Amino acid sequence: MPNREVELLLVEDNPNDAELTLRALRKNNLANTVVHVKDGAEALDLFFGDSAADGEITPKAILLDLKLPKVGGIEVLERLKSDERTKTIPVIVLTSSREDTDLQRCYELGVNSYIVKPVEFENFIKAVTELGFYWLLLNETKS
Amino acid sequence: MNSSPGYRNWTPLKRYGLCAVVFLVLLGLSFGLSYLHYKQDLSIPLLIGTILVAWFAGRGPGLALIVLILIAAIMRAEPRPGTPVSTIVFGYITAVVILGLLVVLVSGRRNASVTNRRLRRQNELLLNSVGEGIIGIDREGKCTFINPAAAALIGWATDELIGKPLHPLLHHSRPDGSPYPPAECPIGATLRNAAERHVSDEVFFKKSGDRFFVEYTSTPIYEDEEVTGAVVVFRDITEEKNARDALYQKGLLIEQSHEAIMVWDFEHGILDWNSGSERLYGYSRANALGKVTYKLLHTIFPVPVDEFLMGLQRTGFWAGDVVHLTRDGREVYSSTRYQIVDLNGRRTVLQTNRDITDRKRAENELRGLNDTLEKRVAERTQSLEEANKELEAFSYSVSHDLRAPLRAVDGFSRIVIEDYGDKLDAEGKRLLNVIRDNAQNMGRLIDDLLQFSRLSRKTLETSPLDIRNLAQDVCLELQSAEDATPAEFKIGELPESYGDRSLMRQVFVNLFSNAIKYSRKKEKIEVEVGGFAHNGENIYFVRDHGIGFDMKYADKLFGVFQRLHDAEQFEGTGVGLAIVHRVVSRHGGRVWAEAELNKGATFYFSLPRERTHEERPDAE
Repeated sequence: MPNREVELLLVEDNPNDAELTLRALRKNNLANTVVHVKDGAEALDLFFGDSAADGEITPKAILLDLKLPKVGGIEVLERLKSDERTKTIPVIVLTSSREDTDLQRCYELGVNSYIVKPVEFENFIKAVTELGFYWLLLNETKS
Repeated sequence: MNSSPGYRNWTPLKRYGLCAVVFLVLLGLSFGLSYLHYKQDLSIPLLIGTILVAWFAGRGPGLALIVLILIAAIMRAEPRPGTPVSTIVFGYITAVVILGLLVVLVSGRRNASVTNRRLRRQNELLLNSVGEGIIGIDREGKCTFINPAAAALIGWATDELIGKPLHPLLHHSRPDGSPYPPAECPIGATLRNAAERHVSDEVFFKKSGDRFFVEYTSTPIYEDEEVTGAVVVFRDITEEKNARDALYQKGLLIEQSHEAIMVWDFEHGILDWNSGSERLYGYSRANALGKVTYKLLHTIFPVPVDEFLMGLQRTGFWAGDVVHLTRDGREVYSSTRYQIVDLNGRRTVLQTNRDITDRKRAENELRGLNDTLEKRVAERTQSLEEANKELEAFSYSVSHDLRAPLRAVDGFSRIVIEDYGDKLDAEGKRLLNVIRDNAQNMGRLIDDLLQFSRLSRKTLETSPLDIRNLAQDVCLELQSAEDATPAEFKIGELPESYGDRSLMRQVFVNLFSNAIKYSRKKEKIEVEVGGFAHNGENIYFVRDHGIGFDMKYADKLFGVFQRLHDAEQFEGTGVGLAIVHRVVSRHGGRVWAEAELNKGATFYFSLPRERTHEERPDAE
């Protein structure tokens, strides 16, 4: 089975935020294949679970929200960054939390970037667009 | 008294000398008479001479004189014929015997009288020199003699009393004032029954009528087994009695005292133990005598026992708080003082103990309470700090959670316009824009509320403030923003003050923004900023010439969400001035405003001059 070519994995439980994010990316042609999962368990499952047996997914980047049901974002981050297979994938936390503790923990775990979701719609779109440009176009990842 | 010298004062030389002289005189007489051919009848001279010598010189010289006379007579005797020797001898013997008897009698009389005189003198001396009063009375109680001391004690002269009955003068009443009949008087008893009496609780009366306490002994005078009188020896014991009464009183006080008072020494243990000790420690006096105090009471000293003993012995004093164990096993705290005094040549320890158990317990409780209080205060402070932090976090997360849907509302409305704009008419677009505007408005409200809450809770960090400088900074900041409305700021002299810079900055931001905002309709926007000192405060103002407001509603200006202009003309949430009011109040100042519709408005606020201001907790 060939690797599923996934450009971006979006882990976001809020459907509105997810829709806006996806729209922003689409509008700018930033990601052709985006996978969207709604909680941490699904995310982990993708990489380490049964569905992974079908084929590894190696996205160019992972947009990770922290406030997730079932398995929280921090835990997902931890799993991703401690496993040989996944720790080289850039993870960008995109969350509404500006808590020091969250920042601290994420960077300890090796997060690649930490973005606080702008409250205002326009700024939100702008941030996601810039994110997309940077991590999907500008940034080099190992092939 | 007359003091003719008795022969006892003469030396033997003098005495025998007299004898010799008299003898020689008699001899001379004898020779003279025989020379002058007179009859030698020396009997009278002999008698005189013998009496003289016997009286003045005593028996010894008297007898010696007789011997001398005898020898001389024998030697000078002319033999008389016809007189038998026996007659002569008999004559001499008779003469010697007579003379001898004379000598003995005379010298005896002389002795007696001299002794008498001597005894009387001795008596007088004794009586005069004695400090006690001595009175002699006869069987009827009349005074027979009285020594000077007695006279002095009772204020009478000696000769005034001799022969007078003494009981009515001296001893007429008892100490309590009731009359004292002679029949009950002990001195009377002495006279009647020859009983010796010793009394120490009665009074004598002076001539002046004053009375004094006496101690007297009354002894009978005998003559031939009959009582002929009495001797009363007395002394004034007023001082002693006072001292005794005072001592008795002190003794009672010690007994009455709440404090446990004890006396002990190092050899014999406890010598005295007052009732306070009995009460406090439960040991009766009988049980305590002879024991060692600190062993009996199992005393716990703040220092080792040896140190205590050494210190006490060395300095004679020790005081401190100790713990005693009572007879029934209770612990009492005692504030104890030890003092060593020299009594009867022995080092005796006087110990007083005050029960401070209650006080100690109260102290311990208080300390405990204080500790608990301190702990509670620390806990409270910590929980307050935690609450504050929680509130901060809560506000933050609430505002985020509130904004997320807003983002959706705003965003999706935009998407509709973008994607379906061509299918919408102007009204449709307008309606969607209304939705967007409201979403954005709510976002601003949330921001302002969040800021208001933060500014209310933030701790004031006061420092000297250059207000003018601050105003200029804010002005620059506002003007250099991208979308700044051009305005002319006239910043005058602004006195320096004390305050929290970041908070005061917000005040100026809000006031300046308002000034500009409400002047927008005018062609030229002018804002004046000034300040002056007044009554110990600094008053600052921001004046604009914009739309102003109706003074009728002035008291509504500073409420949260209160607006005097509709949102169509002037956007805003109505929190700006509430923030100004809250910040200035926290600094201890006041805000107020004056305005005229369409002419402009002036907003004033005051800040205290000195740093004496303590933050007022809930100033509104």
